[in-house]
Amino acid sequence: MDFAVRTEGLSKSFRIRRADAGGRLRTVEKAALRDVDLRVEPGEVLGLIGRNGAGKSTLLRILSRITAPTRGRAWIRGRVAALLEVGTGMHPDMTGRENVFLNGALLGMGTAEIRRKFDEIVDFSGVEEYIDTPLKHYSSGMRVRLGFAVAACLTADILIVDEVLAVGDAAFQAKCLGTMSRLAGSERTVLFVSHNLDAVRSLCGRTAVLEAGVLEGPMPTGEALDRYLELAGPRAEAAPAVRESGGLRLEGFELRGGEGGPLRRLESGGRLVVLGSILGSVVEPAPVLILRFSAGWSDRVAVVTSRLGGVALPAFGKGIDFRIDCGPLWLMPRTYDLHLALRGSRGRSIADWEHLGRIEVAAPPSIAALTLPPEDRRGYVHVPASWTVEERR
Amino acid sequence: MEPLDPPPAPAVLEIGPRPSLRSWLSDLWEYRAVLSALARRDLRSRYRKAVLGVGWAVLQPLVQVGVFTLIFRGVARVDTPVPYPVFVLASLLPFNLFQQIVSQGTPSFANLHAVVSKVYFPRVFTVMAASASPLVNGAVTAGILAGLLAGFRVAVPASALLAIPLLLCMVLLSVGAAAMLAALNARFRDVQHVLPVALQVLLYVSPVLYPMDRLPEAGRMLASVNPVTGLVDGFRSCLLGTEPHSWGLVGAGAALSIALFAAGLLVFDRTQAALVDEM
Repeated sequence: MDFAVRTEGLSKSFRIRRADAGGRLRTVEKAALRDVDLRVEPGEVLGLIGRNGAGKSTLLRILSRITAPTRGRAWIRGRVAALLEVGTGMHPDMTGRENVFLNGALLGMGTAEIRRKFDEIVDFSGVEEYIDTPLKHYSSGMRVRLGFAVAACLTADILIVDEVLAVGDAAFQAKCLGTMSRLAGSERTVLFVSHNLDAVRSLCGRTAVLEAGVLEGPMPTGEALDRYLELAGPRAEAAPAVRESGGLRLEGFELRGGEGGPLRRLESGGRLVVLGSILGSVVEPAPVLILRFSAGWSDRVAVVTSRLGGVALPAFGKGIDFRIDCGPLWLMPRTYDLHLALRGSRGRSIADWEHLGRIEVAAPPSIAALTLPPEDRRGYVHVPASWTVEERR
Repeated sequence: MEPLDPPPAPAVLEIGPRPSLRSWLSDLWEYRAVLSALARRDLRSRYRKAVLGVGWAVLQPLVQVGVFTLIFRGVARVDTPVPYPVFVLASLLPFNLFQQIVSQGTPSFANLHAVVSKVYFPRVFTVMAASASPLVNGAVTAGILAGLLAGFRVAVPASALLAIPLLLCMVLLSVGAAAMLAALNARFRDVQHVLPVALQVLLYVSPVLYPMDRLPEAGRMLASVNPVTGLVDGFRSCLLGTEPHSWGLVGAGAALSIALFAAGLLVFDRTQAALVDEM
């Protein structure tokens, strides 16, 4: 009978002002959530996944009371802490110590509680040396660590977590995941939203999928991930010859084989040539073109960037033609999706063309005879190795 | 055997399209730690980067008194029942409170959008927290005023105690006005550009720098609709033991300040939801 979180017919629509064909501003209603019925059991770690714009953030924002639903109701049993960001409200002119108190208060901790946990927080963050230094002298990694340390020491019955793991270096991410799984083992109820499907898979027993504001599930996480991949994958022959993004047109995107000939078969260790044109103008100096490989649960198996390739792209007025000759692709045999992105030199997104193509990497004849590990234990990188094993006598 | 009593079930929070007035009021109390955290943040960031720091709180009213004494006493020959520096600082204390709370509270909601869009707390706290530094300035000004009163040997009557609730009314009026303007400013940033000019004009058309009787008839009419007039006049009169222009105006100002405070909070609360979505 007990529940931690329950929603009934939860709906949210936004009014957006948009210029119509005649250039007049019109108010358009856009539904972000439609009749969401969700029930989270106490002590459960529930995953929430969905494509960008599917309504995940809206749902979290309603449950954390940042925004009110347009219709429907939600009930929450117990104390909630919502972590939609790491280090909310932290101020660069204040010291680490002052910011711990500020951030803690914003997350719902009382002063006495923060004081009691202060040593633990500082210890977790690993910035004790700088705790009385203004935050502006911290590196961005240190800021994130301090913010997460406060969050990790929150006591709440229900924790709502959004993408906080998408920051920090690998070691720190591992630490965060460790904390999350410790929470998962405790009595605490966690609602976990992430694009990191591996994290969802390892932490969540059940997962719900949001698509265009409609909630499916919760269902066992394995099923939910399959459903998500189905939704996020390319629609059959959906990649049109011309795609627009960020006011730029991608034309003639093409995959070719090793010497620029037709791509018939791609083997692990084989070569791939990617061609295309981007039409439009980019004023930002030194943009970076990025070719990204994804596969199954992994968003970023490999990235090939113009900067890594030693090429400085110019700001351009009409467009550019590009050709990327990828060297031996030591990828494990499986299916990979290709995505292209253009970013500013500081990482600002200029354009994103997702799911442009799909490649099937086959095993080369040399290993074809051998049994490959099953796909979920195969990894993504193929390391050619020669082995020597001798039995001890 | 009977099972043990289950632990008390934690309270259930209901989230709907419109929170009830009761839950809104109880949140104001529940989240009070956020208010003090935001106020401290405001104070720290305001004074830390200034070389003089809180010294500005001393310097600013002193400069004001100097300049206004020179102009209104030296040039315009305004007569006041007490020495002009005392008169003008006793008026500036409540007026500066109003001026600073309104001008700092108005943009604070829009300025804090990064926080407001990531955590929940009663949104009106953004406006209230911005009154922290005006209150500190006010306390410092009160100290200077005490010094001036002693220096000019102006006797402070028992009625001075009445000045305290009037000052409180001024704070309520300021926060109410700031809340309304903050809601407006979140949609139309023009407000924050017009505000400094409007507040400057208000200083000259309200009898802050001169007694009310110096105004021509038409000016008096205008000044009496303005709630700042009654409160400034009332505060000054109670503190210095002089007769205000009209006790009726003082009472009206006090009543209006409470009404405007409630109205400001209500208007702010009813509009903030849409504003947060638009951010």
